[in-house]
Amino acid sequence: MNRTILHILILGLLTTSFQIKNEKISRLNEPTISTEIYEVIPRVIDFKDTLHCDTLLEYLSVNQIPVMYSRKILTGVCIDGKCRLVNIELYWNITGRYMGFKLPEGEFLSKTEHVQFNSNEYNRLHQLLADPFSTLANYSIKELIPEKDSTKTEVDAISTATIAAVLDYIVTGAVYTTYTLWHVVYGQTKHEIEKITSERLTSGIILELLNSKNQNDQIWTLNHISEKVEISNDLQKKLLEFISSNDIYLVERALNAMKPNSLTSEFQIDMVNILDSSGFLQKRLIIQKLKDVPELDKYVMKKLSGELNNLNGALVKMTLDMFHSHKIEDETVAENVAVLLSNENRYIANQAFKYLDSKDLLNKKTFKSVEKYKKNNF
Amino acid sequence: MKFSRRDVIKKSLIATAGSALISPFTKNAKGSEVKKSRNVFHLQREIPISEKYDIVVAGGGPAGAAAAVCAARLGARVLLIEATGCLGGMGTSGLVTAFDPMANGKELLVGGFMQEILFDMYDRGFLGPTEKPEVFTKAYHHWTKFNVEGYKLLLDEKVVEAGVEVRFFTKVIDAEARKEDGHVEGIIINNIEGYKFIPAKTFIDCTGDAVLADLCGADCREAGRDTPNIMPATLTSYFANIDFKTAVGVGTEHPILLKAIEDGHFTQTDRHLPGLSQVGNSIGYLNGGHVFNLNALRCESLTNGMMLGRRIAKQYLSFYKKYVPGFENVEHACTASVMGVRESRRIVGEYELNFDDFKSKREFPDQIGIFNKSVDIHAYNDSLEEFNRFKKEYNETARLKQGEYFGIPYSILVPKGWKNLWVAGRCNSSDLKVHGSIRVQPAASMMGQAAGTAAVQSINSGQPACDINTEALIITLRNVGAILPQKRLSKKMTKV
Repeated sequence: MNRTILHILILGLLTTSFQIKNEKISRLNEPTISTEIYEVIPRVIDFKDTLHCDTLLEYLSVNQIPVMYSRKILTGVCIDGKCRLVNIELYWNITGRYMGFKLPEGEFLSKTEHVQFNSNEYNRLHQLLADPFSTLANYSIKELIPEKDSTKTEVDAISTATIAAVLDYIVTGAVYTTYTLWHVVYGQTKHEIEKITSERLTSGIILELLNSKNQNDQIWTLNHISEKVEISNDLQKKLLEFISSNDIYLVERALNAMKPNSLTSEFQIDMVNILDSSGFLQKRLIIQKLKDVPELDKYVMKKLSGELNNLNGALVKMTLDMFHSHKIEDETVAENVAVLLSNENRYIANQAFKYLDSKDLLNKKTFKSVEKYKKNNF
Repeated sequence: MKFSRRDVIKKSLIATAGSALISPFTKNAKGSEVKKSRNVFHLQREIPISEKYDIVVAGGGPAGAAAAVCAARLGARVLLIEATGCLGGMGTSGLVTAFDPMANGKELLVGGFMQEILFDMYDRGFLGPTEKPEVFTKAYHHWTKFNVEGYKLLLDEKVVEAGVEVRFFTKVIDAEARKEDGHVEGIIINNIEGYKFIPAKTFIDCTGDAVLADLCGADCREAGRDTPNIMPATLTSYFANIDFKTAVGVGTEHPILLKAIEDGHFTQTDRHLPGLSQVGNSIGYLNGGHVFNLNALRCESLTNGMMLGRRIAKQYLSFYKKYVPGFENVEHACTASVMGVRESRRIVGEYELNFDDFKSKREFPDQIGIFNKSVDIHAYNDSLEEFNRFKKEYNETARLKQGEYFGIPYSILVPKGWKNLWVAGRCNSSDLKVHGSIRVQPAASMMGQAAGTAAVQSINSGQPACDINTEALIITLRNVGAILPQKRLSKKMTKV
């Protein structure tokens, strides 16, 4: 497509994209990366569906950073044996997250008996399409649409019962339209967009996405940070912010995104300082992550060994396992572990014994503590 | 093996001996006196006594494994006995290799040991190939599929690491208990070594069938005896060689099932097919084919049910092969070694969690878990009316909305009046409807962790199970990651 024509198209888009105009019906959220769109590039994709349009439009910023994608959808919706085409443009964020829809001028969506959607129903459709966990994923259209059956056989009855199960996930009277559009939104187009974006992720784009307020985008980004991406200082700070958050899943994903080689001493210290204010699962994940670092920082080692007496059984075990995997031979650590030999929790005491028993060299005091434990317990 | 007198307990075992006429007295091979009468067989045996444990957990399913590991991590000396050769219960021996919904569309509700298992299984690659954390930690009514061997290995590691003593192929066959005091002295187990008496300070029944509670004389309700119906069981199967790229998803095969029923493919018109879920690249687990009216507390019924279950599984195999795309080359890998029992015996607890609590999303000061799963009482028979009753209840009338949850109080784990006995898992104290929601693996695990933790607290503080300080219990559970968002705590458990 000629670039001049495209720029004209963009101009039109910019004036209409983020507002609802009288003549056009649209519901469109802001993209995660909120920047001016400079250029729209058509990408022809071999979609394996029957939606009549294989062109995916990519919206780029002046810096050639993708901002969002759209695809024109033209598909038949048949209700009561009468069919009409649904003509709609669907929009996705660069993470493949649904952003919204826009109908061409004069177009509308309709329900059974071809009654037009009202404004609330467009809002509801927009809300339903934004739900990636919709139960619509679990049903075939055959189950949702009662088959024409004048004898009122079981099939009809079951379809009716099934529809009851999805009432919260459809626009009433527009089962087929909601179902079809939801499956388009979460179908191949989404996956193609994710593929394109994941191949282009840079430290800068990653940071922009992580700074967004949308947790789905944050999680998507954390899941797509590849080994090739250089972790900048700002990105590292952002990851630490997530690791110290209250959302355990965000914590887990942020830790998972950190590759062992990027866990510098400075980062390890920052992580271990989070422990003071974190809950059990967070502590567990952080200690587990420290097991993977190439070399355990000395401060981290000392701080953790000093904390052993305040940890519960599961965390003591994890910490000692972590020390063991790093082949820690440190007198102070051993002394701190030896304190646990007299812990009233026999599990903790036993873990301490196993750890110390695996050491070749212990100082006199620690050795005596181990011998005393042996005498009392074996 | 020799035992001193102090190590041996004399125990009379009484068993019904059918109607055969037998002489009143005889001696067994070991010389013990045996008294026989027309209908009752009196057996006197000297049974070796094991050393005393802090806690004995009967049953190594999701509740038992959680109870044992969590108690051991708190320093208790724990013996875990399990009737089969692996831990995991329904999730392993029962081949029900999907965790029921653990999130409510907004957030993960399951914390503590169950969450640890979930994330460990994900990290180790033991979840189904299509499972993603963003889904299983958030989605509403999502079943998290897993690999059965991975789960077995992980649980083995957890118990060994925690120092739990495990005995496989071991059953609890009797108990020495005083109902009037609400106290259990010890239990008798049986395995390849014979009988053994196990004394302990506390006991946790995670048998699923409240076997230990019943043997102790705790009050229980039995499905079919104290209720009009028994929820059907399912003998789960593993199918292999499935082409999941072309196969239809779980639930979407329903219209095809109806066609097959119309064609007369099945011997029963069972319209409820929970479905076939992907647990490996080409392996699926079939939760399908109900065995109606099976009484899991009657051995003959259970035996006949296993045989029928295997025949039904073959019908589903041919159904999938013939009717369902992607299953053209499917092979039957195996059926489960234990029946997928949904309902058998429930204890009468200090409190009975009821449907009003569920509907009102009640928050309890002593809640030890929160949950969202629909009431899932499968059709009692293969009629259309029953199927529609199930669908309506499951999808509409007994379903909480996205973002909602109800509380599971501690007091449903304590048989009424008992001081050192807890029950966790399927046999908890709940009414029929709520039982239909919390009878499943993730809820069982939360109950198990709570029971194990309570038992340790009881040992350390001297507080009896039926009057434990629940405020302290909840704080301990929160400290090990349990998700317990109640704003108000109480030292006393919920009784009303």
